Amino acid sequence: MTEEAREQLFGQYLTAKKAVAAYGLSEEFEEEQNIGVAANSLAAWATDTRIEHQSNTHIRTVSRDYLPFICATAGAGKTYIFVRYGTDLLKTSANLRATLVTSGAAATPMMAVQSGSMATQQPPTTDDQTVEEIIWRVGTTLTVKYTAKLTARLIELQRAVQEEEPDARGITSNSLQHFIEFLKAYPKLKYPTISITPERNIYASWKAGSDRLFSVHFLHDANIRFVVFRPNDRHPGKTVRLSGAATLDVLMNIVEPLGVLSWAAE
Amino acid sequence: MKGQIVPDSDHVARYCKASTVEGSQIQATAFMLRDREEYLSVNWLEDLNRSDRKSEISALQEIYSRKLSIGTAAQIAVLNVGTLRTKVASETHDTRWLRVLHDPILPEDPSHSGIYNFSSDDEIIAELIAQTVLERYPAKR
Repeated sequence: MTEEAREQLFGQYLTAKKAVAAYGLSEEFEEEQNIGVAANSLAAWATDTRIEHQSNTHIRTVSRDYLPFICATAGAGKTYIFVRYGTDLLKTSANLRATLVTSGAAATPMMAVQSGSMATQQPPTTDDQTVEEIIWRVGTTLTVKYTAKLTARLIELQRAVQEEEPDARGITSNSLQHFIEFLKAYPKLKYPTISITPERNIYASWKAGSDRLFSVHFLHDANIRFVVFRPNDRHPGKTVRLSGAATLDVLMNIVEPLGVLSWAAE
Repeated sequence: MKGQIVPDSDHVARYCKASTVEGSQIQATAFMLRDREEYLSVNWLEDLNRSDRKSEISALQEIYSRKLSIGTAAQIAVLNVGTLRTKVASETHDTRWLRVLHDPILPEDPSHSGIYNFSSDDEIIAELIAQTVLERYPAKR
């Protein structure tokens, strides 16, 4: 496994661990150096479904805030936490036996593998992905160093939005997806400050003091609005400020000549 | 009184959702309007007729607890009216003068006011307002 792939997996591992902690199962979460993805797919998912082949095994979602995380309890034995990954399971707890969890529909045994990059197993993204699915895929979609931090922040924001809004809807999924695509296209960008607009869109900012700012509002379609503050090179103490609207694919063509990468990129 | 201008010497407070705060920093998103929203809701602190800031914040926390589902990380941002108006006017290409007007909601929120003269696609104004935050306090008691 490459260092890069290892780091990605570690980021996902940390995210899973955070979910486990949120559910109060920290003591049952076992440290593991090598985590991997099931090579064989499960045909279907069921939450709150008993597994026929293991009469005393029970599966449930970890919590509303961590929908991709599945908790499996084998009778009076240990509790294991798994992560939904498309139709596969990622094992986050050690000592899983291949026969422990099976699909209720297809009875396909899940295999836990101990190594290997997940990049080749990344399902294609679609417009109808849930926010939780997009967040989970951050670790496999992006090659940046801050995937674990980003994942944790997005989970935190999704939870906050659901708490704040009476209808409990979360972040706009298309906005989030465009944001992730943008980070994927520009992996040299630093970790941004991320917050949510009143329309539940992602708003990312790269700041360095009050006179260096690059902010992007990711709208629900592929459009964006942006703001740039930068020092006026010819007039010390003065700041150039501008804003605009564009499509995501041309944004960097517009702002790179303004020098935003001097503070927004590594 | 509805429509009364909040003086430049006075202060307003804005409820900032948890999703608009990262770490200790209140982000520009806290000062953005929804589509079709006409003004940014704030509270006129001097209109609360309290003796000090601590008491004003306590009164706001009480009002918010009745009106809103308050996130644990939500904050109250305090801004000086004159500072925010001057900042925005001097740093926007169209010298935009925001107006801060009293808009009481009776009986539950008599100090309610609004910041007018910008729209939901004015991210640059939200960024400028965010740079004028004087003080911040937890929104939840």
